[in-house]
Amino acid sequence: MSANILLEVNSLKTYFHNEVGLVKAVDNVSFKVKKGETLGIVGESGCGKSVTSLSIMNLVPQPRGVIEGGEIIYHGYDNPLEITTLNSQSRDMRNIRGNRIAMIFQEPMTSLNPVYTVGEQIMESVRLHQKRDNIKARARAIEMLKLVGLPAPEQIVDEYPHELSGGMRQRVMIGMALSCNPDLLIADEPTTALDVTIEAQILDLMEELQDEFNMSIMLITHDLEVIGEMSERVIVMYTGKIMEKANIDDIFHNSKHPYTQGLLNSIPQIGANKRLIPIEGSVPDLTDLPSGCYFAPRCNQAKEICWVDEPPEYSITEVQKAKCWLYDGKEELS
Amino acid sequence: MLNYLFRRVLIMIPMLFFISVFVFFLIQLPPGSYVESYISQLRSQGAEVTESQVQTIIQRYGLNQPFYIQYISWVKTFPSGHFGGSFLYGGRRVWDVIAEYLGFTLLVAFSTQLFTIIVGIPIGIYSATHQYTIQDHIVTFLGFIGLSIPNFLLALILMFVGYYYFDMGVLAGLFSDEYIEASWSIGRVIDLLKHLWIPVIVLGTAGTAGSIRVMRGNLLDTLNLQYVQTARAKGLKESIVVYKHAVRNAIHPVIMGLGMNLPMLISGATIVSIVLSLPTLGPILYNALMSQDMYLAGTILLFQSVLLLIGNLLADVALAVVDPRIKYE
Ligand SMILES: Nc1ncnc2c1ncn2[C@@H]1O[C@H](COP(=O)(O)OP(=O)(O)OP(=O)(O)O)[C@@H](O)[C@H]1O
Ligand code: SF4
Ligand SMILES: [Mg+2]
Repeated sequence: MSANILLEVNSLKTYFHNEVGLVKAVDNVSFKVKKGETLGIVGESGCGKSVTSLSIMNLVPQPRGVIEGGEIIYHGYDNPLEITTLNSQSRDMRNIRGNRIAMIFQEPMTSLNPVYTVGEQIMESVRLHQKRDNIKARARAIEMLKLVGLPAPEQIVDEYPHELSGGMRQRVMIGMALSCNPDLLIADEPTTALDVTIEAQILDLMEELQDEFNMSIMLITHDLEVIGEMSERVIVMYTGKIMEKANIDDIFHNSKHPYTQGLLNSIPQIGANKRLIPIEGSVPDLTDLPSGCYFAPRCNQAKEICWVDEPPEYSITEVQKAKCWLYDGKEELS
Repeated sequence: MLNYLFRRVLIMIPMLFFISVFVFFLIQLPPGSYVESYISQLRSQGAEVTESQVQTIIQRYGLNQPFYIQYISWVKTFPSGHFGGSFLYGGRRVWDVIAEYLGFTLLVAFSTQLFTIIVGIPIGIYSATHQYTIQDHIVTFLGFIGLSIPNFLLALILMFVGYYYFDMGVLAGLFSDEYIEASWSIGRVIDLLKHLWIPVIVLGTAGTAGSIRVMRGNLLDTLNLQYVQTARAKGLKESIVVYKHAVRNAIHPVIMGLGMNLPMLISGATIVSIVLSLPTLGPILYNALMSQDMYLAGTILLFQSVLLLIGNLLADVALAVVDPRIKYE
């Protein structure tokens, strides 16, 4: 294992035993997060992005959700630690959560507890993981609020979430997530609920702090543009599976998978007068998936075999992989 | 906040005025009056009552006066704390009659309230955090029974079981015979506690079952909210996640329910008090209403309204303490 890997996800399977049937929200997903990099995960709604991140946090909603297979290996300690073997409530797991791996969520309006001051919510983490007393924890909270660019942090520290705007709350969330110097920040659609100007500010802030804290970021979004601004490498997910992995340039200029190409065609291009072509059809019901390639019903390049057999993952280059029959003949990975 | 409290208390005065008019009006509504039912009672016992005697009695109690005059003569007694005279108790001051039962009434009511809080809230939390387990199903099932079983029946069952199976003697009243008239002593307090639990369980079961259900349902909703996940993502222990982050956001309707509960504990307790022969206001109100002892009945009802207003005020204060978003200006 090369020394610059922070997190390794191997053949992860996270399923939900829902009333309507078994939902394979994450199905055989493998990827690595390198130290200090930003890995983008992109895909339409319901493709399993959030469940992937919750699996890493070992917070898959109980009792329906179960990690059925695979491993998640955290390399931030001297010895590798397999997260899926830990009990969700165990001390070891809780020592990772919020401390080594922190997470921010999509909905800044609801991700802070309305009945505690933002200061208390940051201090809670700091007291827990850094064993600081109240006075020092408070100083740290103010420091973090300043760091994330909030005006008058000494005042905001005593304010309640409802007194802040959405953008400010997301800054608080970032400050809270970073208060214990995590190695990995999982940002699950951190800017989806914000307007475009605020979005740009928040993304800038995350990039800035990434350098300062020397941490890795897993940036989850359904917006390829956001990924383009932030990430070095990208994973494209669809119906719980990874469709394509590539460096950011290849995703934008040399994408191999029809699904990635479809996503690209559906983003508005500035300057270019190209018409928007959203991907036809909709994401299939996860309890009622087609046989063969799950994308086949929406794919304009589908071949006969696509309807019959699931494509393996093909290695296009050292760093670019695509799960698509079009690359039959390349080296097979799975 | 203090300012707000002051205004809330102030506003109770006009509210109580309207309530008192309304209560008095309602009590006057049924045909006849105390005197008529009293006289017919005397006559049925074979007593000779002449028409002029009847008129004298009616005159004396002012029952021939129009509604508003009677009302005013009742209200006039408020400042002195008399609240009129009770027919049933031979013209005794209403307040003196009420005072005799007030202490035990409040004791039973507040003990029941405390029981509801101490038992209902933790079980509701447990049930929600163990959703769909056998324990949860049992709690939910018992809750339904608790909500649907009539209180008097529960009282009878408890008395029966206590008498026959546990040899506890007759579990009625708040004291054993030897302590009823005794002056206060440690022994009397212990004896009181030995009797108190029965009415508390009987009266508290429905409220407790209600609290469990509301607490469970609301906590289940709250546990799905994003900030609870945030709290978990920080690495907090599940118990802290539940108690510090979820329960405090889920308890509002339980508090409001408890606020409404207080006066119910008095009027709803009537039948139970009769069955258990408790020295509380419930049976007094019942008798007063039956025999049209209007000043007594009106005062008890008014007193209940005061409790309702106080209960709501306390609930509002508790809500403000729990939730900083609630600000009273
Ligand atoms: N708590 C849950 N209970 C049952 N099924 C769930 C639960 N959470 C997720 N799922 C299932 O897992 C699938 C993947 O959900 P996930 O939240 O990971 O999607 P996502 O890619 O994050 O989508 P979005 O962009 O909408 O956030 C969903 O289609 C849903 O059916
Ligand atoms: S495998 Fe076939 S259907 Fe699936 S994306 Fe590739 S070409 Fe399209
Ligand atoms: Mg999501």
